[in-house]
Amino acid sequence: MSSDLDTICTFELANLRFGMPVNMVQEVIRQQDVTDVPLSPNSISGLINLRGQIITVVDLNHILLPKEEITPREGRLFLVCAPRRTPMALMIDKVGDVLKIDSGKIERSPDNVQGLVRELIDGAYKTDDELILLFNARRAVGLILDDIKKTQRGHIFG
Amino acid sequence: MGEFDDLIQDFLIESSEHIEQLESDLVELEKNPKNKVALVCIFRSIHTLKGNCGFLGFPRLEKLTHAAESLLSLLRDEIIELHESMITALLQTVDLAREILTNLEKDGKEGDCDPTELIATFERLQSQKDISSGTTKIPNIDGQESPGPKKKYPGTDTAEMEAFPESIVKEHEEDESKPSPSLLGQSAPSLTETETETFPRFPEAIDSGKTLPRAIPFPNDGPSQSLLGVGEDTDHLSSKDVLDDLAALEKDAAISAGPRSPEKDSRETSFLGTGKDLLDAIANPTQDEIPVLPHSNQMITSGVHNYSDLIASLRSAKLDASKSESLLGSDDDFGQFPLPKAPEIVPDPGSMLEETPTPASLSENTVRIDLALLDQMMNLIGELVLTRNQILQVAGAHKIPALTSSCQKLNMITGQLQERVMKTRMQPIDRLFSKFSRLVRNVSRLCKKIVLLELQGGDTELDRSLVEAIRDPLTHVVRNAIDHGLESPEQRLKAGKPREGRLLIKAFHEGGQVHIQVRDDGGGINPHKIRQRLVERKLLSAEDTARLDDAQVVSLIFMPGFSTTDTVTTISGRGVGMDVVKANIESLGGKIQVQTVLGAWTSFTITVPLTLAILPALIISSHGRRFAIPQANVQELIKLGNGHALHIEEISGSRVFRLRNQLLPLIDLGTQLENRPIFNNDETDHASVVLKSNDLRFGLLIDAVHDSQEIVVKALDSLLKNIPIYSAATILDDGEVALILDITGLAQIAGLRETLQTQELESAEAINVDITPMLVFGVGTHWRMAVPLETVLRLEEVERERLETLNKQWVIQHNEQLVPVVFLNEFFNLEPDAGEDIDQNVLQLIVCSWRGRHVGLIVDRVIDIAEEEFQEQRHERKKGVFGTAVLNGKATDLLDVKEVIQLTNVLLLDNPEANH
Repeated sequence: MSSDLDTICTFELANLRFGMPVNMVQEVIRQQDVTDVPLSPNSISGLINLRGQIITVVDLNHILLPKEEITPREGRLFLVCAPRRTPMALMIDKVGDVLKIDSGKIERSPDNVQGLVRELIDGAYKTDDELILLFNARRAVGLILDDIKKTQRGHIFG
Repeated sequence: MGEFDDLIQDFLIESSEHIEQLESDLVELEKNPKNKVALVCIFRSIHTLKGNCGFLGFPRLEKLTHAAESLLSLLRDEIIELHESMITALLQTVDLAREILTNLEKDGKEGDCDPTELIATFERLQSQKDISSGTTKIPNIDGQESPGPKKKYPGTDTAEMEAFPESIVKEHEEDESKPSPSLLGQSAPSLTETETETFPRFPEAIDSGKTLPRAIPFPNDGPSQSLLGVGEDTDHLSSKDVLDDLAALEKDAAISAGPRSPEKDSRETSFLGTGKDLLDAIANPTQDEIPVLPHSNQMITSGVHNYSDLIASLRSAKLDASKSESLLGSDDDFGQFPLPKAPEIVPDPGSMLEETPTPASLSENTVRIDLALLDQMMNLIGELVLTRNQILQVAGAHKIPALTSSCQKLNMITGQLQERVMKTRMQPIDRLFSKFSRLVRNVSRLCKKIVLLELQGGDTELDRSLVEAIRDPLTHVVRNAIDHGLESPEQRLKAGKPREGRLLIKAFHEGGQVHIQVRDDGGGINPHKIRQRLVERKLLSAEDTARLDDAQVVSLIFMPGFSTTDTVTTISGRGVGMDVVKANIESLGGKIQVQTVLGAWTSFTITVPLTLAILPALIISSHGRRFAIPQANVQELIKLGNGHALHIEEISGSRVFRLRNQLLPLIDLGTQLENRPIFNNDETDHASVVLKSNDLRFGLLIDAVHDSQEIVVKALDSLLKNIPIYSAATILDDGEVALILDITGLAQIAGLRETLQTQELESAEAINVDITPMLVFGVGTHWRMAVPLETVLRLEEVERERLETLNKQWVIQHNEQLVPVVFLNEFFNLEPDAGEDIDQNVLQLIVCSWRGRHVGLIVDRVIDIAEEEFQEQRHERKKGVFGTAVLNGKATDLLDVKEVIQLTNVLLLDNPEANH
């Protein structure tokens, strides 16, 4: 594991606790207006104006949670990160502390972490009282792209 | 790894610049085979490419450039003579190198381009020297002539040495690379000897600095004698001969060096500059021996032993200067054509020294900026403008003098800042023009025609993205002009024209748009042949074609399915047709027009907006969500509904409506976007937009029309690129994001097909005949009046209560702005229309723009939009009326908006500050 992971920013999403290297996190904002994008998959909530830059908001709840557990919530937090050239905003439930972690103690994804979450993380880190999943934003983009392909087959070309 | 990526990135940028330079230099060299300067530049570019490839490890490109370099070094040293096939091979090298670079950019690999064949060609071409070496006229004795000016950089200017340490390193690299075994392997043994013996002298010469005598090898010097055994030839050339010849050239040089000096290529200029120094020195009567001047040592060297080359160089440079931008893309005898006159400026010979620019001067004035950074700046400026608007509103409300004046300043500065930043994205179209020299060369050769290319307005600026976007359509038009437009030399002579065809490519700004004209003096387009062709291809009936006039027929070359094959000349067209060109240009928000005179000329004019970054758009909504539609796609705004003149019909399940006797399909935006139709079956009217994309027209049912705005186009995230309905996004006045609809994509998703020849015909007419669409409305009970549609900003039905008075005049609020309102029936002293079916509480408002300000006109009825050709007839002056025309078959007066504004003394408002 690279030394990038020394300092992580923790957050909650889909009832899980994640951590992302701080150098990946551009900022955390509380945004009001999200412009809908009709015909886009559910995992894309829409677009926001971040100081003149148009940024896509992604909502992994729609990918990670079963349908019945997804509830629309007001006043979401957005974690702006840039896994690609253009930044994207990740809808999160709660932002946590910034932690220093010992990169030597990062463990492989625990076996009980299942399904798509497993594809999303680089590993896990155990603190005294909790388990933090190390979020890989690039893989998140991959998951959304898969979702787009599915949606397109269903709606546009189906 | 990241550092390496950066290196590759730099390499790619630098290499593509080299390749561009190479291309134009090669064409230049072909025009002017004696142009040593061009040859040296080509050699350098290739060499640098090769060096970089070797360093970064791109073996294919390295091998290829190496082979090219070997040939070039033989050419440079005049071991072999330049031949057309070599230029072709070198141009192929450029193409292949470009391909490899594209591959590298894509995935970091060289791809599967195979240079082997080309390398073999180079080897074959090199072996030519066996034949030519014996007949080489005046060979270069010591091989110093061409590297001469090169050596000047690191050797003479200490400031440069500090500024560009790399350049020195490169020079040394180059010198050391000469005797490298791989090169020797490919060269003939006789040459090998020469090269190894002469080239290592350069570092020595540089090092020795002022000790000139050592740097000048005389015929009896060891190395020169070993050169092919032809050194004796020069023995009979006395210094006196040299001086005579050079003196005779002095005047030429003075003329040629003058216009040449502002040229971009400082190397070339300095070369001439040194040459001139030499001539000055020679002309000096006190020195009858070879003058030794610190500046001119290189040139003396070459002058003594190879003065004919110098003469040739100066001559060719003079030709360059006089031709500057014209190109003969043809046979070897192009030099004989009458050329445009060189400016007869004879500069003061003494000033030539100072005029030699330092090579660094150009790069010092410019900075390379990442486009992403510019985009960020644009974003921030956009935000600044939004903030400014908010502050202006607050300031307007509070009326604090100090704040107001600061706000005005802020307003001004922001506006200027925005303008300047927009300007940074602009690039001269020269970038594109420079490619056409090569294109014209290739095409004219293929078509066996002689083409004199003239480029004008290369400094015309347009947005960088547009320069790229118009490349393909413009290339097609240029190719067509040579292929179909110009006649063969024989035909031209028969027609009493000069043998060489002229092709003019001209760019200029007009009316906030960029116009690019491609004009040939060929045979023109024969409308009768097109008529025949249209009937043959069953695109139109014979009666239809007969009905159209010649200009209309000619414009049908843009019609899909119309092949240019056989129509104008016998040579068939290649690639896409003109319909694709037209579609491409229209997708950029531009248009293309054709004008022709049979037997004399054809001219295509492409008009595109200055930038793609800002787009005039109509803001509409569907179920409360706002979207932008590019104004270029919007034809008119209409109301559809039962009981209304335009009602919706249903044909086999799909909705259509009839607009001026044409049946148009109707798309419901709500259905397309979220499967929730906007259409409901009650009596209410529906707002609709008539849209046009390529040759397809359709109506789009929407919730409401909001405003027309100039919007800044922002690219969509790649995650959303797959949805064909959106082309981009923008930020509206209030800071909210809106998506820009892609009308072509929308039509596709809705399953519309391009049909109906009449539509195509109509669009073709629209291209050629200058039609001003007019908005026709009624004033009083039966008076018909009209204004040009382009001045109309929007049509609205407003309740009477919404009107307010201010300074004894009517105003209406719109988007927090006040718009003055004029009742036209009051203006013309007419009774308002009191018909029963008219709701007196609802007023018909037409908002017009005049000199950037808005004025509202209350009329009694909005009748129609007339899109037809009309004859304007002036008659005795009636106040507020411009003239009369027949529109839609009825006499209609044309309203003079300007006069109405002047006569009613309405106070025009342009922003909230002007309220008091």
